[in-house]
Amino acid sequence: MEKARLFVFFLVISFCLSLTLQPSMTYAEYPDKPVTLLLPFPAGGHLGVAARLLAESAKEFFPKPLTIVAKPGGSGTIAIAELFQAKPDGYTLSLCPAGPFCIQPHRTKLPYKSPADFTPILKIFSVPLNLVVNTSFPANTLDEFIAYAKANPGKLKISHTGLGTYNHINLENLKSLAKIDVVVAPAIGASEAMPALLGGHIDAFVTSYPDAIPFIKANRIKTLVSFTKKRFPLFPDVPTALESGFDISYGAYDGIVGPKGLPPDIKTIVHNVMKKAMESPVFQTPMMEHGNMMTYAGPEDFMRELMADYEEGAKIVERYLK
Amino acid sequence: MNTLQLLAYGFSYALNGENIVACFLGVLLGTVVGVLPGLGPIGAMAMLIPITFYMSPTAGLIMCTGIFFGSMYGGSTTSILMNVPGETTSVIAAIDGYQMAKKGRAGAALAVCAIGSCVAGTFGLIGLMLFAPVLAELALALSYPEFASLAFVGLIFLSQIGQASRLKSYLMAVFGIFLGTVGMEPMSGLPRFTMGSLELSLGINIVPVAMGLYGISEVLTIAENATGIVKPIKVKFRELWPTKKEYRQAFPAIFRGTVLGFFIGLIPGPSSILSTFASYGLEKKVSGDHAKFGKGAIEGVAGPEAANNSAATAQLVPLLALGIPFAPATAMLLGALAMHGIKPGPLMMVERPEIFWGVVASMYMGNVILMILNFPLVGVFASILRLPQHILMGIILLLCLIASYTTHNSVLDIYVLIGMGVFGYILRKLRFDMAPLILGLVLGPTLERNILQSLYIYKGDIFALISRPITASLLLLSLMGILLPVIIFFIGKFIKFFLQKESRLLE
Repeated sequence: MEKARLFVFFLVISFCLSLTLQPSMTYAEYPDKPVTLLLPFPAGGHLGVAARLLAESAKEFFPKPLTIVAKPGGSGTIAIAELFQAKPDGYTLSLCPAGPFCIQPHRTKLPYKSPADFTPILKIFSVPLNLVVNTSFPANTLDEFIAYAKANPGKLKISHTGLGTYNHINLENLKSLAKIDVVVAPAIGASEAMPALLGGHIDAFVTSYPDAIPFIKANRIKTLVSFTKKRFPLFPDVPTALESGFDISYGAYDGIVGPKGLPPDIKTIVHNVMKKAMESPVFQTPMMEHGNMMTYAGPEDFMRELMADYEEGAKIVERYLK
Repeated sequence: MNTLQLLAYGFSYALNGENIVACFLGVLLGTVVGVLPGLGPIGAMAMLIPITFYMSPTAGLIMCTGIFFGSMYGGSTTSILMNVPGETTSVIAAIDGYQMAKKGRAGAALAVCAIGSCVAGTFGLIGLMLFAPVLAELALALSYPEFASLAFVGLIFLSQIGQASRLKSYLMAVFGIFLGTVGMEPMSGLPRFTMGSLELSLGINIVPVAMGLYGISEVLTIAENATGIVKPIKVKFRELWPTKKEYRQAFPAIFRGTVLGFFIGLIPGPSSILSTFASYGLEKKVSGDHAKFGKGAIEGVAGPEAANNSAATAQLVPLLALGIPFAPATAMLLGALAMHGIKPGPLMMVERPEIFWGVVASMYMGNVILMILNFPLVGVFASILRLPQHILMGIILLLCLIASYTTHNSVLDIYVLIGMGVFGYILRKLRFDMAPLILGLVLGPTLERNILQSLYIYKGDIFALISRPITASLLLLSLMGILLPVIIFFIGKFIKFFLQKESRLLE
């Protein structure tokens, strides 16, 4: 038995030792090894698909592959905290939405404080949002919907895809600007709210176009209004909220962000490659078909936008999430 | 076109070279992933989805579904051989499967698993093929209050499946629910009980908990008892296969598990694992001999294994008929399709029939391939037990450590594994059942989320919530489940008391 104990002991010790190993670093021309693209949401989700398409598209312009590593959880903060702690050598980047930078730091204690702790490289696409109802719902426009809600105060149940998401904020804004009394019922993602809507358990749902399009096409639901600045090109007949007099146009957007202190030359290489990759039809065609909008912004504009939304985030958290 | 014509059309798609290769590769990888603890079907699909980019959408989906249901086959292998549940769905198989292995019936347990999986997969497919659109619409009739009450009923009844007393089982279930609250509050995403750790905000992962409670605690128990090198049980190859008696016991269990699993699979949430618990509970109720469960009852392996396979097939119903994933694994399948520019929706069966029917046809094929693949492997796997115990235990320990790390690439999971191993050892000494803890950990978050969401929808009115017909009857049922034993206990005492009094009077 002594032998057996020793054997187990040896295994455990060798295992523990292996945990302390660190790969040795060598410096050469960037990139000389695969670049990790951290994903703050599950690989099979909407962002995961975008990352995969981007990695495929980038192959043509980048000598090394992009390795997608999904670290979902904490509303995206786990992956972003890892990005914050990563070496600014260009081998760890993230494709991520604004939420973990602009909303979450106001809600909970995180290793990073604001977008200023990172190097935004480029903004790639936006996900336009809209309000959908069942096809049988007795309203075809936002004005009719508001009239219906006013005639039935406290009756309508409207879902969004999670507290603190832009879907939620648009809904709360609509509620307060249109002065309607409705029940706000949060769901966790569209895959939970959509069956609730189809089954008649809720009346309406603020969702993204990519999540709504298959159901609109099947004539199971209809969209009443786009929460965009201009009419969404895929649905030119759907008016914006602004046309009804409500300035509600938040939409999620995603881009590439690196750790703080990324050397300017590496930043430029990544920016140029990713810009070409996002413009290539390999990425753009399926993304547009799914219902996304290509909204490129360079490093400075992206940073400015993130900082503005970070300031806005403080107010949003104060109003809706406290 | 009628169903058979459509199926023939599906086979005409599934039988082209690319799709056959995709199907074979998928189920092969699925089996490997299933056998290896830690890396589950979701992780494997995430890793392999990039490869499907080079395939046609149908072939890509065929490969991913192959991984998905292939992993359901192999999942119980380590449970049976080493008491290490590598996936959450194989926790139940560890209870009686490992006991069978200890008696030298590992081969029989593994063989029954393979047969059960094949039967369940095939029958599940028939359900999927014939009724998918109808079932999907039916599933829409249920909502948050029903899910919450189903989870509640599950906790009340299924925590009693072990040998421990009622009170001890409830205690374990409650502890499981408590562990399930660690991490982010489901609605607001604010961290709870995380002690400031970002890693803990992901919540406590079930895989290391299950491996710790079962695998590590078993290693510790054996290390304690070992006085010398234990010789492994010598089993002749002929004795590997189930006996006639075992087949007779297993087949009814497989059919019950198939039907039960299919319906549970239609419910959103952790339905695969729930189906295994429910099937085990059912087998115990149906069987006249309660005492043999937990000591190597073949029904306790066959039923749950069949159930998780037909549940997995049923999970494809809402995905293929509506384009809505009800489980994390089917969400991955959705991702695989989306990469090809296909957003599944209610129209997919009409607009892209080759996808639905191609996948259905390939799954029939896959089930047969899996059977052919798995049967010879039974002998190979069972011979692992010929290893001397002190080496096997070392391997188990290492396997558990690696497996818990790989699930989330997080060192925290290793600490959870070791902590749970020691905890499981203590629980064994105190004669607690560990299955209710796992059940609580799985169902607790489901229960909490759905209660919260129901309360949001009903503006906090709990009576509106519990007065829905299905919810009310389910809750009444669970109330009876709690109160009846207590009432019966007191009536028994009462009668005894009176009888004693009477007999004293007679004297």
